[in-house]
Amino acid sequence: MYQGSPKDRNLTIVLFLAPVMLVFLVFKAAPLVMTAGISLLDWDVLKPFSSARFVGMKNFSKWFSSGELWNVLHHNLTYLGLYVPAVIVLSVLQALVLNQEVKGMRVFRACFYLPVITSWVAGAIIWRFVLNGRWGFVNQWLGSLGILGPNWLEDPHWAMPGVVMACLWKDTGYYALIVLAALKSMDKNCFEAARVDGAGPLSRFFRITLPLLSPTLFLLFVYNLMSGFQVFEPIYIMTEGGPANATTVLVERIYRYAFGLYRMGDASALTIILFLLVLSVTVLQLAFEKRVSHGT
Amino acid sequence: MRKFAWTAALFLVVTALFANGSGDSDEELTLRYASFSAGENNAAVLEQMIAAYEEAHPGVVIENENAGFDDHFTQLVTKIASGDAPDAFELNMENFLAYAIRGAVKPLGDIAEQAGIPLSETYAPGVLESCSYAGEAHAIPLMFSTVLSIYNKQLFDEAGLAYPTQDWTWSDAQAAAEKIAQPENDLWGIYTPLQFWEFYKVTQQNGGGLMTSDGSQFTIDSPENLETLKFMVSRIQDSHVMPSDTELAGRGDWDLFVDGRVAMIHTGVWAFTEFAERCDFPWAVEVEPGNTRKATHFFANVGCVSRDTEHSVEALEFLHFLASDPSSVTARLEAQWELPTVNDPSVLERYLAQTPPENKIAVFNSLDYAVRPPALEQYQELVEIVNPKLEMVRLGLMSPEEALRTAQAEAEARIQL
Repeated sequence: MYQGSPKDRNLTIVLFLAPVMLVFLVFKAAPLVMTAGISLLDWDVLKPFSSARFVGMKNFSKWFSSGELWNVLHHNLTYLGLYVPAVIVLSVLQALVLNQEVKGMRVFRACFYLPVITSWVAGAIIWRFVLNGRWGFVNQWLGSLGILGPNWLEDPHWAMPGVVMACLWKDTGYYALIVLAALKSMDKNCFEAARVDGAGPLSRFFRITLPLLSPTLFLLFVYNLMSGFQVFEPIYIMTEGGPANATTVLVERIYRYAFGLYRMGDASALTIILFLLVLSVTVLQLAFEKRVSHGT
Repeated sequence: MRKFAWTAALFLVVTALFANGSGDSDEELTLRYASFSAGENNAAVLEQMIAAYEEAHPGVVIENENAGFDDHFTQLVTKIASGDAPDAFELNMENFLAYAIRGAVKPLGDIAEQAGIPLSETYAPGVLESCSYAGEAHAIPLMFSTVLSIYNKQLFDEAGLAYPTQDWTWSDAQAAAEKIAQPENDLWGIYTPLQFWEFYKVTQQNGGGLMTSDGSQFTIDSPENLETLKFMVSRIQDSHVMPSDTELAGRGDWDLFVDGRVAMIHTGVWAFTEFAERCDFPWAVEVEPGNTRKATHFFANVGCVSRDTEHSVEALEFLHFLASDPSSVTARLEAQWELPTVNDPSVLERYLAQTPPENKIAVFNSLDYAVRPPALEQYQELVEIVNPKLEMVRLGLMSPEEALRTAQAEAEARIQL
């Protein structure tokens, strides 16, 4: 219990918060404000900053009037639509398996977590082999079922599903660990009582496990929604936005505009658009969080 | 407590003194140099050149910022934008023009005069000319390279065909490719990448080009270019002498050649080292065939002096040493790290003496037909516009007519000439 005067108490709070606030201001708030400022300029990044020209909202209007933004958003939404439901379902299934008390489960848990700590560069090489149209494991397996698999990463229609598969392999272990922690924290008495009342495994899962998991799953949903808008690494390493611009996404475009086309104003405007998208997801999260947490 | 405070203050003072003292003494000048072409293979060769320079120039220390191709350009843009550009840096041909047009590098005329460096006497005329912008040298040519038709002699022998000659045209190469290709056996006649960098050159082999000669207009959808694109894609889709992306199945074009699966490949001289190590069949090189005329690539990596450096003369002296000092030239030749740019016939003789490949003189013959990429401030934007369209054509998702028409319209709308 704090014993000092209110003035001292406030000073203590400020002092404790100061380091974090300083880091936040220097590394988060200031760059954001600067990005917002640059988004209003026409600045060729190879030319001196003094040559930058104020253009107001022109960079934003260029993005909204060009087909490129909508194309890129479409790719981001395709990624989200494929990735988010799949990663949540697979994480839950994986966590349910890892929650079993059988011999050697610790080794299994480590194996499932291995892709998470594998670098994307190594992962991309593995997945280029796995998704190879001719000799890849996926198409060999599809072939054994009598299905002719596509040339995944070289086909504009199948490149994004290919990237999503690699992302699922890489990320599921991490989210499964979070779900597993939630499963472990559940009161076992509920399950015992349900079993005594004659509830089967499916009934127990849908009526007890899933409702109790809902806050965790909502968290995963929101987190993945936000990170899905910011996906870059797997795209850049596996497809570089191709083939034929079929996997261009928001952050990849920001990178290309800033460092490839040297148009920092356009890149900053797109960054602000991305920021607003992520912000809107956060606002939605705050609106729905209580409802999901309390199951109302 | 007081003792602790004094100790801390003393520590800070001493640290500050050392920090100041170790970086910039009056005696020592530190030059920062950012480069990419050494990569992993030639990093030691570059270090060796730098060590030789430092030995010859006591008091100058070179801080080597060597990075991979992509990382180098990302880092360089960031450093320039934040006012922390290295004193000297390496650029490839396309980026050199983009940087020179934007004034990110210093013109070298006055600096060379001040340093007493006779640029035009030291470097081969064509090579030096490629480092010029607005009539003045803006870079030191460090090394140069070209693209050739590299062929598998064994496959030609097995098909009973004569080897390519410098007089060959598209139709000669096509006829040979058709005789050799057996798609059902994963054996191909020719491999030429269907992308922007190949396209701007091949259009000129057919009397076309992406822009008018004065650079005032785009001519992407000209009849010559359309004929060129149709010819290039017909090799995949009609005559089937070249593998599609599906048939390539993720293999690199070099792997295809090394495995003896393709008779002719159009690629750069930088493939020589790897082909010499990995090919277990005889191979040779020839100048690429043209159609109505010949046109070949010319690539050079150049050394530039940053517009922000306060040590222009020293930076230029260092670049000049890397490009032309006998020790650097020898190191470059021994490592087969592309070609030295000096105007010295003995260097050419030493280069030609190294085989394989056979007929290495084609490297120099090829330079007679060299064409340059479009000199545009928004060059990368043109690549962004044209390349995906060519990819769509290659994948059979867009007709050549539509691809060139939309590329022309987009280029006119987005790029200021």
